Formats: sequence, C-alpha cells, structure tokens
Amino acid sequence: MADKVFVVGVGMTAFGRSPDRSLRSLGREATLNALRDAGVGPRDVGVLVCGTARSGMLQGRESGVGQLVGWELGINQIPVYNVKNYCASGSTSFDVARLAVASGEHDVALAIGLEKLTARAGKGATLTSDGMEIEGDLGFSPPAYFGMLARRHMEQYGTTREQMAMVTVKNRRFSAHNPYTQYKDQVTVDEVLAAKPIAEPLTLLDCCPTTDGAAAAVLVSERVLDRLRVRARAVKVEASVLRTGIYEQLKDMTTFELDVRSSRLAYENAGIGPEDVDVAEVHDAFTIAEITHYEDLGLCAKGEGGQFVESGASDLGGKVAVSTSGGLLTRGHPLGATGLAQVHEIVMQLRGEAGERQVDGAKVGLTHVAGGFMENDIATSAVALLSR
Amino acid sequence: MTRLPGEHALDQQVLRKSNERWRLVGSRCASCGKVFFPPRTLCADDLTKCEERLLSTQGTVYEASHIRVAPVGFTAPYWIAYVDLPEGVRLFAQLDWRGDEPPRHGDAVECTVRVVRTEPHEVLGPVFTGPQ
Ligand SMILES: [Zn+2]
Repeated sequence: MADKVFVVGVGMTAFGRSPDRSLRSLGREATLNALRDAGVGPRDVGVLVCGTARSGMLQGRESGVGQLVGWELGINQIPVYNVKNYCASGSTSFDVARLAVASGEHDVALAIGLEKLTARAGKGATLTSDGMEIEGDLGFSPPAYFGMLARRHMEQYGTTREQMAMVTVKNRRFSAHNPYTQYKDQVTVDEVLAAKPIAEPLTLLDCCPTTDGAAAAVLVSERVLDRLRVRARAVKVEASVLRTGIYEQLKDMTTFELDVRSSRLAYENAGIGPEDVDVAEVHDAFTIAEITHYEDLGLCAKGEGGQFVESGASDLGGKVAVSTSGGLLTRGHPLGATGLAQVHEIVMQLRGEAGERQVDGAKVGLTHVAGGFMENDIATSAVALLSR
Repeated sequence: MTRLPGEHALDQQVLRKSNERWRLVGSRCASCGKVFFPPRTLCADDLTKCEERLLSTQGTVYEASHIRVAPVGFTAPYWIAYVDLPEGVRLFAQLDWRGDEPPRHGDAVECTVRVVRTEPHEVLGPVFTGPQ
C-alpha cells in the first residue's frame, strides 16, 4: 500500500516574457516561494525533481537544470532527477516527486518545473513537438493539428466558432484576478473571431502565447505533517496518473483516447468521480482543446463541450469551474512549468486563497496536461486529483 | 541544416523512386499484414520484421485546415490535411487545393511529390491534389 502524499507548499513566478532572466533566476524565485509557502527549509528536502522540455535546444542546458536551481537555494547532496516529457514535463516532475514519497523512500520532495521560450540561442527550426520531424518538414505545427480538430468537432457535433471563443473570454475574465498571468485584457467573442487568423478556424486569440516561467511544489509524507508543522494547510494527492498514447492513426480526432484512459484511472484510484470535481485546470493550449478536454475528462458528455462552455457550466458558479487561473490561454505555456502552475492554482483554490476567482467551498480539484505529439496522437497525458 | 550520422533526409525515409516516379513508402508486416507509415523495422503488434511497400497514390481527406501563419520555410496561405490511405494509414501533408469549396472530410485526393519546404533545408515530400 502506497503512503499518502500531501502538497504543503506551492510557488511560482509571474508568467510572461522575461527574455533577460536566466533559468537559474526563474527557478530560484519559484522554488523559494514554494519553500516559504510550506515553511520548509532547503535542508528538509530529501529529493528534488526538475522538469524542462526545451532547455537543451534553447539554452544549451540539456542536463542538470535541477542541480542548477537547487544549488541556488543551498540544496546539494540529495538525489536530483531531471525529467523531460514534452508539455507534461512539469506534471512528470510532480508525479516522480509523488512516487518518491508514496514509495516510502523520501518524506519531503521538491517538484520544480521551468521553461524559457522567448529568448532562444539561434533561430531556424520551428518549435514543433519533438517526435514530429517528418511531419514538421511537411508543414506540421500544433495550431494546424488543432485547426483540423476544430473543424472535425464543428462538423460532428455542431460546435460553433462562438463557443470556442467563449473559452478565451471566460479565461481572460479569470486572468484579470490572477497576478501570475501574462494576458489580462478583457476580450469579446467578436474580438476573438476577428483576430489574426492562424490555422483556420483558429485565430491568434484561440492559441496560447509564448511565455517564460517557473513553478514548484513541496510534497511530503503523512508522517512528517506534524513534525514540519504543515498539517493545517496540507492538500492531499488523491491520485496522479501519467500515461502514454496508443498511437493509433485512424482514430476519431475529436477525442483523445489517452486522456479518457488516464482520467478514468485517476478517478478509479481516488474513488472520486468527475461529478465530484469542483475546480479543474486543463490543457487549454487552444480553445477547442479545452472543449475537447471537458468531454474526455468526463465533465460533460461527448459532443456537448461547446454547449458546456456556452451555458456557463465551466464558469464560476457552474457545474465545475475550469481554468480559474486563466489557463494556458492567458497564463501562457512555459512547457516545463505548466503542470506545476496548475497544481499551484488548485492548491490555492482548495485552501480558499484564490481571491476573486475562488470557487466557493472547493473540496476536489483536477489538473490535466496533454503533452506532445507522436504518430498523429498525443504522446503523454497527466491527470491528478487533489482534495482538502 | 547539417544532419548527424544515421539521420536521413525526409525523401530517404518516406519516398522511393518507382518507374521514374516518386512514391510514398511504408512498411508491411509479413506476419499480420498491418501497414505502417512512417516505415518501421518491426511490427508494433508482433515484432515481426516489416517489408517495404509502396503506398497508394489515392486517398481521402480526413480533415483539413487553411494555414494562414506559416512555420519557417513555408509560405502561407496553404492547406494542410490528414489524408487516409486505403492501406489503413493516416498521414499529414499539404494539399494543392483549387476547388471552389474548401476541402471536406471524405474528399478524394491524389498524391504528387514536390519540393514542399525551402528553408532551412530543401524538402521533397508528398502534396495531395484535389479537383483541378
Ligand atoms: Zn504484425
């Protein structure tokens, strides 16, 4: 039987364009915030996990980002695991930290995730997904994929352009109240539709921006909750599931089998159903993605995602508030940091510290990242359920 | 773009010349008959060694999108699509689309091979044509 795991501290940087800041600087700020939030010292940390996706390609730092950031805060000697897993690198960092504590091997684990995307060493190759070299040479890009998904969803289910735009409008409204996000200007449905076309039917305001940032979380075992005096604000990890795709080519593009599979397993492991989720952070890299995720995560029936956002079911006061942080669409998507920024938001919500965007009485929260592409499928999916 | 030893250009990976004409090549499992694209060495289902096999030149559009902002090396606007081939594979490619209506799910398309990218390296690859 695995040991119970709790998140007792979270921290992040404000996400945005920070071309002058180093990986070291971003990581130091987020990690220090997490340690202070937990009230835990660097010497209490037994294991450190660090997620990045692009640090090798963009900053020439392929290995050892975890050692780099740890030593900024005087963390040395302990085991450090550096993980790279597409957009799910931060979620993978969280999951490895959870495994380290759940196994009984460590009592205090630090999960860090960071990415610097705005300043790049050299230029040339497009920032498409690793593993898509052939498709990239033929013109593939993530917006192209989600443009096709949007057209498929519109044809199969009658989803409208306006419903997609409503995801951005909602997430911008949340963003206005979150100090950590990149874009806070309020937009209307008409403004989303009239923005610069990228991959039809998607416009610039249907896509997440390019962003730098870092986020971190402190995970501990039940047996140290009292010794470290962190029980009062502890959030329990009910489940954390990381899975990879089946890479089936002739699939229905409007559903991600991988997300269905990973979320069902998370619900089963936690003994919690989708109807119990009060607040969710999903991988809304594109508006149509958030709509598809409502369906795949079981928050609504297949094909009803457009109606779900239009009816307000995913807004504050609705069935389940989704992307209350503002999501990837407004916070930005520094790949390795995203999964831990989601944990940050859910922990704030469950502790009742989310201010103007607080979901009343939130008890159960979900995080979800769908990362990378492989053979026309997504490459990895991470779903976690947290409760308080 | 410099390639490392063991890395092959796209045309060496997925194209073969047959009767003076470039064709897409996949691989077929000698045991279960499943066809894969891109080509692979072993069947993912039973680990049998695969054989090269030229793919059909006729396919149908699964879904498409009109690209308005292009990655480096491409010039927007252009159509891209997932094209389904009768062998049971789906591949990403550009469309040379001249029809009056936008491409739709199920439209018949034919494979041609052209220069599809100019920077940072020239790429020879499939482009599917619709009604001319
Ligand atoms: Zn086989």
